[in-house]
Amino acid sequence: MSEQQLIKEILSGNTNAFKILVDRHQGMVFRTAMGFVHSKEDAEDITQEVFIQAFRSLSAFQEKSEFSTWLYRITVNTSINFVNRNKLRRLLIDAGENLKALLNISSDEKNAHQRLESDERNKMVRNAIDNLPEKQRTAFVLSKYDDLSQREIANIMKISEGAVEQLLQRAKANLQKKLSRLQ
Amino acid sequence: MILKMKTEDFIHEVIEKEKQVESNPFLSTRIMSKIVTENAPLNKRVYFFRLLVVAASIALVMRMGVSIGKIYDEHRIDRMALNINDSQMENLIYYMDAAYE
Repeated sequence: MSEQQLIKEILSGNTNAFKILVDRHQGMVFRTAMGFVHSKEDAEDITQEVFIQAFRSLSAFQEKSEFSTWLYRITVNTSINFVNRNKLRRLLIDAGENLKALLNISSDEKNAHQRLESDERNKMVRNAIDNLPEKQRTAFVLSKYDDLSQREIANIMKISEGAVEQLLQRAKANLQKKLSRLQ
Repeated sequence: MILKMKTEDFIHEVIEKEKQVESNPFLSTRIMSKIVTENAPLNKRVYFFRLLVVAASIALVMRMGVSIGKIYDEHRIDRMALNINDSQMENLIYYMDAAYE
């Protein structure tokens, strides 16, 4: 069944047809959310929020763009809102994780040190991605986590392909600068 | 160039690791149940009916409380109570164990 037919079914009151759309796009929404929050639980919460929001505003979907493009837009907005809402909570979780890693260092010192170093490096990469300006971050996540083409990203972000290319280049340069300590 | 590649590798490694994380297999069921509970018009009716029943029950309990309160009459004298002989009642102490100790 095509997506247009499914949407008509849902709008005529067949709520169960929405499950087919959820099953089709759940992976992509989850992956994009992971790019923004780096946590399985938070990404699942965002996925749920995205589909509920999509269901509520399905009647407003005008089919000018593809359903997936529309859903990507909702996902990006919901993820950015989620990140802004939970900044303090994220800080506390990070602090807790650091403390836990330090306390675990006593057992099997060599392995623990290696693990700690690798965890620290991963955290630096995530922080560098998180600290990118909003547009650069969005373009970067859509490109790297969802393997979308510049054209698709341009459609989602409602900007030109050239602008996407520029955003990706700037994001890459920013990451190189922020992660120079790793080298 | 080699050093630059290393940073890119680190980024790539982190992203690949995160891409391999899979969501809970019951996530779509969770989403659907949330949507159904939130949007089903029948459920809204049930919710209002439930609210109505709770309100009616509270009103009924209050009304019963007032009615029961009104039954009590301060000036009412029970005729049976007047016939009790106090001196006979006092004799009951002999039947209690404590009295022989």
